[in-house]
Amino acid sequence: MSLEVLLIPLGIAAYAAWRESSSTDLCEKCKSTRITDQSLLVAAVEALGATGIVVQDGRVTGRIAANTFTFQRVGEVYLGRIDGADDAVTSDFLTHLEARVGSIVQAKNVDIIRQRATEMGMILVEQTATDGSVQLVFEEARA
Amino acid sequence: MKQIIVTLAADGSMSAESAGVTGPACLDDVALIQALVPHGTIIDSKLTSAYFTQQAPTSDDQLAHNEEQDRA
Repeated sequence: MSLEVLLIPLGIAAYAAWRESSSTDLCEKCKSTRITDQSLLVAAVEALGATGIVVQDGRVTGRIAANTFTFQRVGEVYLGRIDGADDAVTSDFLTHLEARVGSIVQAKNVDIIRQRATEMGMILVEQTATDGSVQLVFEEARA
Repeated sequence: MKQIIVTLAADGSMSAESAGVTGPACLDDVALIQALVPHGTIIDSKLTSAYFTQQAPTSDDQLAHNEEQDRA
C-alpha cells in the first residue's frame, strides 16, 4: 500500500471536540460522549434497553432499569449522566453506550460502503472480521 | 490491480488504504476513498513506503534529464 487515511464517520466527534467538551459544566455531573448525532444517541440507548425516551432539540431523557438518564448537547457533542447516581455508575453506563454506538456505526457503515462501491463499479473481493473490526477489500472492475 | 482496503473498527472509526499503486499516482486515491466513504471525514493521512518506491524512468524523464546535462 502507498497511502493510508483515517476517517471519522458522521455522528461521532473527532477526539479534539470530544476532549474539549469534557471541561464544560453546562450539564451538572454529566460526562462527555463522542456522539454528535441525536438519532444515533437514541438508537444506542434503545439498543441498551432504555424506555420512556423523550427527545427534544439537543436533549434526550429516559429510563434504563431503575434509573433515569439525561443527555444534553453541549457544543458539538452530547454529555450524559445517570440522574442522581455516582460518577462510577454514569461512567459504566457511558462505557456501554459508547460500545453500542461503535457497533451501530460500524454495521451501518459496512452496508453504506458496500452499496457505494457497487455504485462506483468496484468489486468487493474480500470481507473479514477480526477482533471486532471488519475489513473490506475492493478492486476496480476490469473494463 | 489497484485495491482499496477499508477497515471499520469496533469503536466506529474507519481507516482506508490504497494498495497496488506506487509513487505519486496513489494521491489520486484520496478522492477515490472519499467517494467510497462519503459519510466519513478524513482527519489524517500518511504516505507509506510504497509511495517512495523507485519507479522506472519514462522516456520523458530521460529526455529532461539529458537536457539538464546538456545545459550543465
